[in-house]
Amino acid sequence: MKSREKDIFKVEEALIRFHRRPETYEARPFWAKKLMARVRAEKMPLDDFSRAGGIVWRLASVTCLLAVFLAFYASGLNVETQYQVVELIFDEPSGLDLAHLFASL
Amino acid sequence: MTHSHKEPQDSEIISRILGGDVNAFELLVERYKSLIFGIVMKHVPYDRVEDVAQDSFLEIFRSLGSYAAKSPFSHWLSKITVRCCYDFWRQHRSNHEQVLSSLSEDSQQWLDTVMAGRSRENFEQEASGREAREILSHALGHLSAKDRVVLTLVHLEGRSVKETSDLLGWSQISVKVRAHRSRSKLRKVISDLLDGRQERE
Repeated sequence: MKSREKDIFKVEEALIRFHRRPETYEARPFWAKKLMARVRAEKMPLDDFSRAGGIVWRLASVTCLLAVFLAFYASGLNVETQYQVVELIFDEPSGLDLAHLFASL
Repeated sequence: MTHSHKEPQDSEIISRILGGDVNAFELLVERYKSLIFGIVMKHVPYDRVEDVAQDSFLEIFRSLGSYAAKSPFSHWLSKITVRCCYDFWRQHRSNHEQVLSSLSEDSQQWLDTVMAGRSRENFEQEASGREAREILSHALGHLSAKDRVVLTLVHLEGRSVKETSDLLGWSQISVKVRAHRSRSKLRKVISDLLDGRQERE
């Protein structure tokens, strides 16, 4: 029993010596840069320009979705595009002149 | 930590950071990284040292506003770092099964060498290898995060109960009880290892 206590003590001592040995750690080259990037992200508030940029991009995605939706909607109406264009031209007096011009050619 | 008169004092750097000069934090990182790494590498696995050191610095940055300059800045940094190491083990407790896997043949041999009781010089040599690290990880893997951090600070590093309680923000009684309990657990693990070694023989 006493011998077992002694053995445990020996191992304990060896582990303590191992733990207390002086050692240094060399961090990888980009460690500090990565840390500073995290620090800046932590505190740096977004400036007005960045905030405006975010709004523009959000609006762009909404606009794209709207365009796709309208394209689907228009394709379902079965209206001839050419007819619509002619109608638009003839609704305007200037458009009428333009139509005459084209007719005379 | 003492600095030459050309270098800005810690308090000046802190004021600059709190005033919005975030880049000044780099000066503190450069000044105290050896202290932080020195603490972290004694508490967490080698491959996680950089991550935990980074988390510690980030926590230091977040808490800078609460530094009251009542204690030395290095002591305040140590407190935060030790608590980050403790948090690491609280979060990674589920991984301890990996640590409890059987020891390598080399580690068993390391135990044999230690038990042979050689001279002090050999002893120093024996205590500097990968095997010692494996055995220590194995032993600490049996402990809870609380027991682990107290055992490391009090028993392995030789810090006083008062200092440990201050670092962890726990009562001295709690640290004392845990230090005693965790040491008993460590001794039990070592005893089991020695039993396993005898069975092998």
